[in-house]
Amino acid sequence: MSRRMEPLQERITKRLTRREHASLLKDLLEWFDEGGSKKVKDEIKRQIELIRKD
Amino acid sequence: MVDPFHITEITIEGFRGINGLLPLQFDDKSIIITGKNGVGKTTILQAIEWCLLGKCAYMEQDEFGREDAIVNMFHPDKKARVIMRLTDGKRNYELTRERKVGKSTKGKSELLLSNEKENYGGTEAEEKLAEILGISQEQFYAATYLRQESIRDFVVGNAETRSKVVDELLGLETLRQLSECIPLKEVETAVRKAQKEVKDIEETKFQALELARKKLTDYTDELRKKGFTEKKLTTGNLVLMAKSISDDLIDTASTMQIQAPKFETAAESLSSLQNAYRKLSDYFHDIDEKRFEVFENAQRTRANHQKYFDKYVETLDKLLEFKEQDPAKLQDKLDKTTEQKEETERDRNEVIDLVDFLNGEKATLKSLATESDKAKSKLKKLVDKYGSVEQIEKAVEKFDEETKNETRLKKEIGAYTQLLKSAVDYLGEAKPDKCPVCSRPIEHTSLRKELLSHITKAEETKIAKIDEKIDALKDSKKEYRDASSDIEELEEQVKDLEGQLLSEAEETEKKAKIKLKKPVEDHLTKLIGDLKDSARKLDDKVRGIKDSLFEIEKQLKPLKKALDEKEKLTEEIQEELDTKDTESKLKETLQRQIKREDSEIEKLKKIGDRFPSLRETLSNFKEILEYLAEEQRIRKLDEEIPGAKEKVDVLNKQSEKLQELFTGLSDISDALRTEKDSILKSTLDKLQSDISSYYSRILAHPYFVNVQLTPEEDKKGSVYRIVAYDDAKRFSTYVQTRFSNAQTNVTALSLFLAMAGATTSRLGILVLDDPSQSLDTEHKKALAKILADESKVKQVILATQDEEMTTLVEAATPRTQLKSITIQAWTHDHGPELGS
Repeated sequence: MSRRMEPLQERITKRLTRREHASLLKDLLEWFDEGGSKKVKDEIKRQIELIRKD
Repeated sequence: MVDPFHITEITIEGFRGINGLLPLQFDDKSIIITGKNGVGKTTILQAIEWCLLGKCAYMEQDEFGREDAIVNMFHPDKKARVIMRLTDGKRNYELTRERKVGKSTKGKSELLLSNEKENYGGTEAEEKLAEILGISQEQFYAATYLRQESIRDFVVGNAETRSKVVDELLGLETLRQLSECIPLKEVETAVRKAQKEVKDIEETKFQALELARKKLTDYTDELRKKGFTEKKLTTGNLVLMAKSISDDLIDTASTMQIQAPKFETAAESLSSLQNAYRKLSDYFHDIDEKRFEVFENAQRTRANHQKYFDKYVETLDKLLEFKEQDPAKLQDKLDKTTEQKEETERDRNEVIDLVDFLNGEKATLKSLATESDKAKSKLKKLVDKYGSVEQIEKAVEKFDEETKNETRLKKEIGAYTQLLKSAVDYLGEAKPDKCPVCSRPIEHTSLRKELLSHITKAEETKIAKIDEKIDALKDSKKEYRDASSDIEELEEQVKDLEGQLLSEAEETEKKAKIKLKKPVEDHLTKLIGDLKDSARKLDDKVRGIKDSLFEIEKQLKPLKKALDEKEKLTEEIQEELDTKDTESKLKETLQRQIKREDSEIEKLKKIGDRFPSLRETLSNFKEILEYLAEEQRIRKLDEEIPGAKEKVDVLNKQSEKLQELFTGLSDISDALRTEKDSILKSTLDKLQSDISSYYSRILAHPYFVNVQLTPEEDKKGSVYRIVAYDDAKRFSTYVQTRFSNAQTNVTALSLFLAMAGATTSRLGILVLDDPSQSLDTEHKKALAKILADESKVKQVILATQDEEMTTLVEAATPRTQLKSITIQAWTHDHGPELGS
């Protein structure tokens, strides 16, 4: 994740109701940083598929 | 000017309407480009746009894809090139964008970016430029470049595009994109799907097993009630039952004289037994239907034959009542009597015709006699008066003779008078004293007088009387001639009438075959009376014959009807039974047939008695089959249960994980929204304050004095609406719905200027193309003042053909901050021609 996303990650993390969601937020921001909205959507879809294949 | 980048110099060549080289020095100042329409002002602004972004937003329509609108079509190298120098006071960059003519406006261009130390080209140059200026295309069009044709677009155009730009300006775009791209619905759907799969397995396996067990218990209870022990509830027993049912069916079919199909022995498997049940059940229903049909037919036929029998017996009995009557004799009598009746009627008609004829003849003869008498009477009167035709001829001759004599006398008197006239003339002329004949002395005057007197007397009396007599003779002659003609005519008429009378009388005698006696009329009257009596007698005779005929018909009609009925019925029965028998023999044949049919019906009834037991056996077979199928299903479900339990565990785990993902994403989504709302709250206030400030400075709406960007949530996410409020903020309206063109333009300018102030980019220019359109002097003044203020912090580049606006801007802006460029004209060879 690029440095420009770090302040945003910090601000949003503070607003999460459960601390365990912080790592998901980190993943989400990384995906967004890498490929924008499309990458976020694709990755979440991939997560769903991975869970369903378990 | 320091900090944000601004333009110090731009050189344009081969771009749109600029064919030659157009170098423009901006000298670190704001620029106002003036000139009439079509001289190339907007082209200079488009050159700035193209050089920075590599595109011109205005050129999006379909037609721009059909030819190259960027490269000047007369440029010798067929190449467009814009060189622009930028500086922020510390760093200097030179941008060179160029491209060769292509088939479309949308063709790619090449950017070169350089400073004292570095050179960049292609994608690297584009990225470097974006990094240096920190501006997106959307920001450029919303807060840097206010295009002539889009001045109102930002207000009245698409709310989503506007919202994207506002979010970018407020630094909320990343948060917006992140919020919008989290597919919460898809994750939620995946959770629900996994949960549904668990529910489906529970319903189809666990609950189904429980239901099947209950059903099996019900089947067992039912079958035990019917006396089926556990031992009987087997496939082996069903095989035996199938054999027994098929044997019964074949036997029944054989009794009914039907060819039965071949039933194969069922195997000890459920599918084979189910197949066997289907075949046996189908065939059972087929022959049951057939039996019913045959039974119905037999009963119908038997009832029909019984009806024939009863009717035939009744018909024969009825004929016995006419035993003594011979229909042939009766018919002969009827024919003869009919003939007699017709003959009598003919005679009677002849008499009536003759009476009519004689009555007619009587009238004719009477009329002819009357006419004849009249003619005779007239003739007699004429003959009495004038005599016969011969006598009249003689009288006429006499009249002619007398007329001749009178005429001669008249001539003689005429000659004498002429002689006297000659003597008078002589005496008058000669006046002699002696007579020229006898020479005696005469007194000529008195003699002449006397002679004149003779002439007058002779002419006046004698000749007039003679003329009168001749006329009377002529009249008499004419009268006699007419009478003679009338007599001849009447004689002819009498002769003719007499002839007609004779002829009619002869014809009457001939037709009536009588000899007429005189007086004919009386004779005919008597004859007609006699004939009428005769006709009356014949009428009486006809009536008598008719009575006889009625009596004969009365006897013959029922006899003939009974005979016809018997004949018709005999034919029908013969055809039905295919026999030639008649009378009593036919009756016996019919009786025998009915007996046979009774026996057949009895046989069918006995066959029908087998069916309830067959039906019950089949029903039991089916129930045992269903019991065994349910038993097998339970066994199968029992086998599947461990696998299903395992699957449910897996699905439950998946569901939990998906639920976790959903909860996490929901939490993140909420956090993003909260963060966005927080930033929005702190930054939007400033932007709204700026919008209202500009809006009120450019003299806005008389009632809706405040304009604000208001965030609203709709189906597609959050959007910014442009809402105007009254002074007390009691009433509001969307600007698009109520504002005039000029008021909408003012709103657009206010938004543009406020957003330009809010932009975080490092490009410090403000490009405005003809911003004063639709504005009156007061609005223009206010705008000129604002632009003058803006030129203190940004490089304002303004193009306008509005001379008033130019004057106002030049008056409001210090000369140290503003440079005016005037374009005098446009030429084909060069393009814009600058003024001095």
